[in-house]
Amino acid sequence: MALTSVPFAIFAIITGILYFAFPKREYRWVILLISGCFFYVYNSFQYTAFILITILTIYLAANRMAAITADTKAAVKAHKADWSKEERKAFKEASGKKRKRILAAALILNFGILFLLKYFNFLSGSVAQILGSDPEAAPQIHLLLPLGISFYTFIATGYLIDVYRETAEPEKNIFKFALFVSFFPQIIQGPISNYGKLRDQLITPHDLDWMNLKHGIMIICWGLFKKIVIADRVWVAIRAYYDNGGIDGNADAAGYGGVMVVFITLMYALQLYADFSGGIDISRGICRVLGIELEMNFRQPYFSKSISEYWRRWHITLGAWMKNYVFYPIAMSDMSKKISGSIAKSSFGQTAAGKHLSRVLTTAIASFIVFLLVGIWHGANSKYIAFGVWNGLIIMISAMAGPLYEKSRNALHIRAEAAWWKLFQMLRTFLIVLVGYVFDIADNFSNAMRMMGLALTDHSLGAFRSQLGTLGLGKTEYLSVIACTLILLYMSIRLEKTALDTPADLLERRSGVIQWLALFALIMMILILGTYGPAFDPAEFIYMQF
Amino acid sequence: MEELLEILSDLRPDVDFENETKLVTDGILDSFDIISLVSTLNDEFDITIRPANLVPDNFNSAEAMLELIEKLQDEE
Repeated sequence: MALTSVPFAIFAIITGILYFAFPKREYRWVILLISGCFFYVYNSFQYTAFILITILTIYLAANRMAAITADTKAAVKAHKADWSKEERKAFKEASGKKRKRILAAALILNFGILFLLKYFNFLSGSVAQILGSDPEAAPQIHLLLPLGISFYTFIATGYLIDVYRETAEPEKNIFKFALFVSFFPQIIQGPISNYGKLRDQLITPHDLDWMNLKHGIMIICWGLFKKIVIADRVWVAIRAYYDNGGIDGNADAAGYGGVMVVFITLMYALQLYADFSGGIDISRGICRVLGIELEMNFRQPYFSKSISEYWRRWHITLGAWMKNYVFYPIAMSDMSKKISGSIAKSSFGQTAAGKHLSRVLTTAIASFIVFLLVGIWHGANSKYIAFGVWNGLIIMISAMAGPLYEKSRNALHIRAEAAWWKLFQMLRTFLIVLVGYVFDIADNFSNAMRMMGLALTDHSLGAFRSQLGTLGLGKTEYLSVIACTLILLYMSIRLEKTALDTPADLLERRSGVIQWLALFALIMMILILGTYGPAFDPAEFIYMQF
Repeated sequence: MEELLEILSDLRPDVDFENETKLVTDGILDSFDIISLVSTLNDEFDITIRPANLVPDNFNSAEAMLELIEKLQDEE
């Protein structure tokens, strides 16, 4: 049941009607839980056990840790008079260790499941290759991925770490916790919600509100426009490029040159953004109708002026998860402190460069590790590792070379505020992002390198123009993609300038007539220009398979 | 407060720390700034800031940071 399918629309509407019509307001959340269960079982019946294991183990671990904390506090209070400071400290440490063991066990179990299902085959094949035996004959697990496993595992473990850090209260009611983990609009492709931000919104009963309904429908339509009108159409061209041999070593058969590589990479950037952010819009729109505000996952990422900014604006909730639960713990670990300290104490540490390096080196390494993990999160393939390494290296180098960069900018008398400089920064960042995407597009690392080689060396426009027709799109379809992309670009610029969240907020400033006309135009475009029908093989949301 | 403001302006001379109240939420301080700030604060105030303390509410303004520092000093 894809997000843009008719069955899903019917399912979402029925859920909404049942939710608002349910007379016992304080139990409306149960409707969301039941619909989530139905959605999960319907889509991923044979793998329901995996999400149940996650819900149960994380629920138990969180409550056990919280109980230990409470017992410790009570004991310390009871023995306030008769325990020495050392005794108190030792007792606290012992119970801290217990909590840590529970946390570790639950994390190992849950990430272990994710790892086994997602990466075992890749690793087993690689090991066989290294040992010189046939990778095809290596042991394999023949399972598809349970729906949303990468998302719900992160959602649930993030909550568990928050409870461990005592920044979140444990959920006592297992059904309420199950709703948080399995909430249907977010299980398909995120966002990776934070427990503190979502929990109360899910449990508090909401009534049907005209503004929420109107805005929700607008956001859903905007998402459908991005997804069906732009992404699915562009996907046809990318598929044709794949099918004609553009991504494998068989370049001669396809005859695609360097200009085509650049063109397809641009199309991919458009498709990926329109598809992923469109899907998130649909989820957020549904939630808005229900009175629930999901976290933003995209903020015009292609307008970023640096790669680190890009990762704060693209898949925002994954970046936030990585920052909170991987980056900070590594950057603040004793090991990092030791390394920074020893650089600072050395004679090199007395120089300006040494001082700077002692400050940023371990942070830079921590962010490199984060991006390696982000790459691996995307899938089990050497090309995703290369994608992570590429992003990580850029961020690491830009952090370490920061002062040098500032110096050269000043030497050239370039004002950081100048509009052309900002535009240059955006284009430069976009180019770096595109290079990362080539790793995504190619079927493996060596073909990604081959494609980039082509893009740098082969610039025959004539061949490219004659090959445009082989991508499965006609002239009108190209024109439709261009026109709709311009609409998307215009809206993105407006959102960027006003710092508003959605096109619905933009429209709210206009008169009622304009609002209805815009919604009508959007629906007409979805109906007329959308990609439908049996001839079109509807691409699942790219991120749904993660 | 004086000492804290001095540390902050050493770290980022371009930011008005006395009046900003959304340092983290608005992305004025990025995670690299936060990490280097944390290590300076740990040394100067003899405290241990943990990952759990790194919520935006604790770092959005100089005032909030001071509150966190005082809270951690009490716990030591």
